[in-house]
Amino acid sequence: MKTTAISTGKANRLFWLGRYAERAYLSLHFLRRYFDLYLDGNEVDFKTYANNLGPKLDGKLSFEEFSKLYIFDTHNPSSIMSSLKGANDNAILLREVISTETLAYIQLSVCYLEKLKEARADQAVNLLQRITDYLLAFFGSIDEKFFNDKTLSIVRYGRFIESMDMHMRFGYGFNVIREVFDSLLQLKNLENRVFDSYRLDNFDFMLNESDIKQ
Amino acid sequence: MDELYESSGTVNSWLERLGVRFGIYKNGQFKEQLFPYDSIPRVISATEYKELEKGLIQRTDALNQFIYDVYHDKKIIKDGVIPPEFVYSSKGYMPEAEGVTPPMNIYSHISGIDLVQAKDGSWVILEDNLRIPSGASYPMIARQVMRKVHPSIFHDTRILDNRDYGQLLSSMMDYVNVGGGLNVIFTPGRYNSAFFEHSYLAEKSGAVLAYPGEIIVENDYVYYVGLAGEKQRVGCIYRRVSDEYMDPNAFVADSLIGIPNLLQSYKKGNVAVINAFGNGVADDKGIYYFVPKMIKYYLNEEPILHNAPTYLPYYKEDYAYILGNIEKLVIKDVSEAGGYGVVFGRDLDEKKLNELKELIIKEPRRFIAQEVIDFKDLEIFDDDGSGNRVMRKADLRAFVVSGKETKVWPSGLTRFSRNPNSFVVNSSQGGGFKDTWILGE
Repeated sequence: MKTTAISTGKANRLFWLGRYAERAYLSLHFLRRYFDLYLDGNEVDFKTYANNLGPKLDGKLSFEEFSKLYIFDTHNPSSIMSSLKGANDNAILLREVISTETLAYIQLSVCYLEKLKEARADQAVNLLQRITDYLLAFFGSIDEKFFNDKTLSIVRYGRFIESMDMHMRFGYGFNVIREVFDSLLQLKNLENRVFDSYRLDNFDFMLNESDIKQ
Repeated sequence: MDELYESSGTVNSWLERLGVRFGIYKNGQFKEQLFPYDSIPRVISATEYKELEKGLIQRTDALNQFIYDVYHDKKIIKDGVIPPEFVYSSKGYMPEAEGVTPPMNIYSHISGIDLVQAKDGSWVILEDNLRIPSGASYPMIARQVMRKVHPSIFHDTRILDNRDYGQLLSSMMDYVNVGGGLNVIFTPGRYNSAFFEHSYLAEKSGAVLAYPGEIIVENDYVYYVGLAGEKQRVGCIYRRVSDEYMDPNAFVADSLIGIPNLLQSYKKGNVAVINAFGNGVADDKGIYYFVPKMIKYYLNEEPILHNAPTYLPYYKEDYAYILGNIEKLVIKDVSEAGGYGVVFGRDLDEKKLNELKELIIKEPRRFIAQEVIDFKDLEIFDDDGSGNRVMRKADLRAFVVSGKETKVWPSGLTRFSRNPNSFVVNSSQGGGFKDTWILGE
């Protein structure tokens, strides 16, 4: 007999797998954006990026210092390494749900980032593209391989929540947040039974009450 | 060979990518590391395998009959073939299993039989593992990688496919499943040294990987609990947790990794547990001595595979021999596993030898002694990266699956010692592994 049930523990791991993978993916996206501005001598510095993600920093932050702290430092929960390890910690507990083939993309990301520690900081930004590629392959593999809508929905749910959080941290306008939120609502309609308990209406309330204005 | 060596890096990258790791505890800290893999396979010919297969099936069938007998009629004890103290003082004997017949009357569904090959080519049994034998996943995944990296070898040579172990498991689980419920692999969690194996076997057999707290017993039936509280009946549990931690209401009361009241459900025949409760009585190192006698007793056949020459201090003549020849024997503590509690007399100075003798005199039931087998070394690539081949001690763990029929998995885990002076091959003590190729006819 095949199971139709997902335990609370597995649902929790699927949710956090989605969140951590999305956080790593978006961190890389924002990192590239900030690095690009830095090249042109714009006023935006890496301290802004760091403060958006936390913890808040005082004083100037050189690119080398930033790279150490926000790309590789496993003790900094906002680093890309921490996000990938968080995704990996959940993914290895879900091997039989997501398959070894899908899990491998997260494993590859962690192993590759470990190797990049040796690279020059400015070169690392270029080389990080490979991790973005792995993460996109991971998301694609999940979409392709999950035949169980419920499982897929939980991962996507984690991704959307993280995406909203990241966009808010980086000061995006309400229209962008709303788009992500609408995707989340569509997900709710797809699998009502699973998400009833999360009282998604609260998110509407949260958004209406927030400072974010269109 | 050069081709095999040159591809070692590629093979190891694949194993890293697929997350093939095992956990070890060092100084109280958990670490995950790659299981060192050597690309030179152990090769077993079709003729040799046929004989091995017959011997392994014979041994496993006799062991299954023995466990039934111990917990029911006890004929083998009554007939004086095995002294009762060997059964009842065994740490693996479980009074709670008395009178319980598991579904389809199978006790050892997955048996891991450890063998070595002597220099004359004959195979010798070192020990039987009938509780939670581990290690099948490593050659399974290594084969998958080797087929990608060396397609021409597999195209040009007839090597029996070993990737169907998941199917073997699921067929066996379906056969013993009670009430058509879920098949579950029950893991204590990520920090178990064999967690990779638990998750990989779940994926390959299609079973649900369940963690402590996800399975409950209600009214003597076992259920897997879903997110919304929905319950699905469980018909078969392949547990990767030792007997004593499986049910806090029956065994170790403060176990947090068990399923409360599971034993009660099992006793009522409402769920199959793989391997059965109480199997430890048959893979005790003291009982090992009697397995050839069991084969004659239950099957009325001569053993096809032989034990290593073994002595029990319990018997007077063996006792005298052990004390007189201790420096050339290997002494094993029957209550230890995983390569621990194994002492080679030749490695001890006089003081230590005397201390060991005193221990044997004091607790003769606790030890067995074996002749050191001069077993065939296998070639491995040297650790130093030179590509040189060196000889190392190696054993073979064969996996026998007992369901509707008893079947030997045409592969196995070949473990080798990386230390040139050591006979200990266990992964927990730094050993590596190889794939085992069984050639087709």
